[in-house]
Amino acid sequence: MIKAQFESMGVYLPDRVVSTQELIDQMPTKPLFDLEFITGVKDRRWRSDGQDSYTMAMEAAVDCLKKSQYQAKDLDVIICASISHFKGGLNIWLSPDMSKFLKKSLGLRPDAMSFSMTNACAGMLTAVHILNNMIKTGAVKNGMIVSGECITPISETAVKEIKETIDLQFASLTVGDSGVALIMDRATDENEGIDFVDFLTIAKFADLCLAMPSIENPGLAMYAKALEIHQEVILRLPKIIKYMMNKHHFTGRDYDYVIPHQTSSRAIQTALELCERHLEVLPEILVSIDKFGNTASTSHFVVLHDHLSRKCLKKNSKIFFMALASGIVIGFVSATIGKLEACYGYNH
Amino acid sequence: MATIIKASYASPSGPQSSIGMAVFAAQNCLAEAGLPTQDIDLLINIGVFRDDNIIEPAMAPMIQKQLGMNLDPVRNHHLQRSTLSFDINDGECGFLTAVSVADAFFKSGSAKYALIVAGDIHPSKTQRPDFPFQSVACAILLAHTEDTDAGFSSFHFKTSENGSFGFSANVDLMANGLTSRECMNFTMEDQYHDRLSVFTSKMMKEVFQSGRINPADIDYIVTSQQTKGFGETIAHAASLNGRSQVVDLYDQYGNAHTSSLALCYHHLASGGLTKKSDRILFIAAGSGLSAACSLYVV
Repeated sequence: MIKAQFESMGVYLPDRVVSTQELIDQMPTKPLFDLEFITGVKDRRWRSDGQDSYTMAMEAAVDCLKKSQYQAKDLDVIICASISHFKGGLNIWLSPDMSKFLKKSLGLRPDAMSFSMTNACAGMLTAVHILNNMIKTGAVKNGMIVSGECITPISETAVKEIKETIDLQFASLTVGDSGVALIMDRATDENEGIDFVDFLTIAKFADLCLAMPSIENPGLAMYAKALEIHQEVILRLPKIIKYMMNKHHFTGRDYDYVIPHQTSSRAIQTALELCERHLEVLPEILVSIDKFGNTASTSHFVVLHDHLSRKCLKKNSKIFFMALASGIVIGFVSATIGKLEACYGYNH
Repeated sequence: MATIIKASYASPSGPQSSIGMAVFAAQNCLAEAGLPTQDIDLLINIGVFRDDNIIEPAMAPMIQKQLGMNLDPVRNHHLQRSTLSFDINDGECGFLTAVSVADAFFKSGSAKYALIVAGDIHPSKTQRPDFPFQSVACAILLAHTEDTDAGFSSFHFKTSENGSFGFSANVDLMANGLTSRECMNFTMEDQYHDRLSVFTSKMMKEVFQSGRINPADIDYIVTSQQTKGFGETIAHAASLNGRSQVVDLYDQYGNAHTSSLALCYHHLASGGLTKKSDRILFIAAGSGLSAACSLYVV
């Protein structure tokens, strides 16, 4: 069967940097705990006036096309995978879906597929699952996955609305804005590309994290039982890892790096250490949460971009991506990313 | 290998909630199929409008939760049997998009059964006069078959190159303020339905001219239900008249938005109107402008 690969990646990060301390300074009710110490989030990028999910997705898509061998007209499908669908300010667009705006602006062929899909912070990796299957089965030859996450509006709401020392909106203070676009196509080298993708939804906990318009202030709010989610995930993750290892025949030795979803540095460390005894060896964990916070559906690729830009990854790195998202969604993508390294100027 | 419809359900009744309607339709669809809930590998919600304008999580996990579908595979010791659920938003074309996604999951061995659900309702979960659609709960159970003569084939998707999008739905959190959970602003441009009908007819002509679908072989035409006679107009303009019958349920159900294609298919299937080897042409059209089609052989 045909194998798919990551062909190129484009990333947009707003210039403005906002520190955790700056956010806390604005809060009428300060947290009793050290938020930066507990989460590991020191800074995050923040949208400027006129920027929204659409503009950040466009910036990333244009950057991606610059690095790609493909032009927009060559693409068979565009999938928009963001949670936020803001266009023209804090304006949530449901119809037409965001992919239609992006498709037109980027100049894809009229007969290219275009749709939006959402799966909370697992959105981009779930879209990788979809596009991987579409490429493997010959439904399309290539495609773009794009996500513009304009999510600092939930931080603005949290700053105004947190009144308790334990509040459902604390996790909203850890997020940052970004845009990421990926182009995937058929792998020509059997050592390159995606080996497997596997996802499941543990829907028993579907309502532990909800984002919706606030009813206290105009804007968007997220209400997350973050500790409860963490507890339920770490109780289950080692068994899921063990199951996936048997199913897909791998150990930790097969990977150069693991990229988890960027929730908090402590939560990531605890969860992965619990998996270590199954994995035999825990690959190096890539984290950029200190600089960019939790960027939702783009988080894995913002981390990858950060490390690729600093050229600190091994050549032809094999990476174990781990999705963790509201739903609760747990998923894995196993991929060798030599093509992405090449488009970041690595000499192979 | 091809993707086939194992069972269907559609009804305008059901709870006043997009999640509740999808659950209601899913339960009825699975009961008709006699398939245990836990056999569903893939649950895709194609409804666009969401209770309280919730943007996270996706609606699908909340639907999965209410269905009691593989809720906790680790604790219940069945990791080999789990469900992945997510939402697809492609407006009226969402049904065919979800079928093509499920088709790729089946062919790659990632799933055996997929359930597509929708239940568009106003975000306020009440009946509002400005809501331009009729709420219809629908569910379609998909599976794959080795019978190469049956199932979906010849997917085609198209959006307009230029011009406006025709129809839009949005909620502005600043302008709509504290009522944003229960607001949705709808804008329909003049001549939207006429433009959409012309655009869709043109796409169908291109598909017929390419030879991918033979218009002479079609038994039934199932379309979006934008207006009464919408499907008939497209069939006529694309020279699809003749022996093929257009399913038009606008008088009974109005414009059922994302549920329209499933509703029309269910009308045929539940009414015993189709037989083995009948050829159904699915045609979707909506905001974008966008249109999609696929041929389905029973």
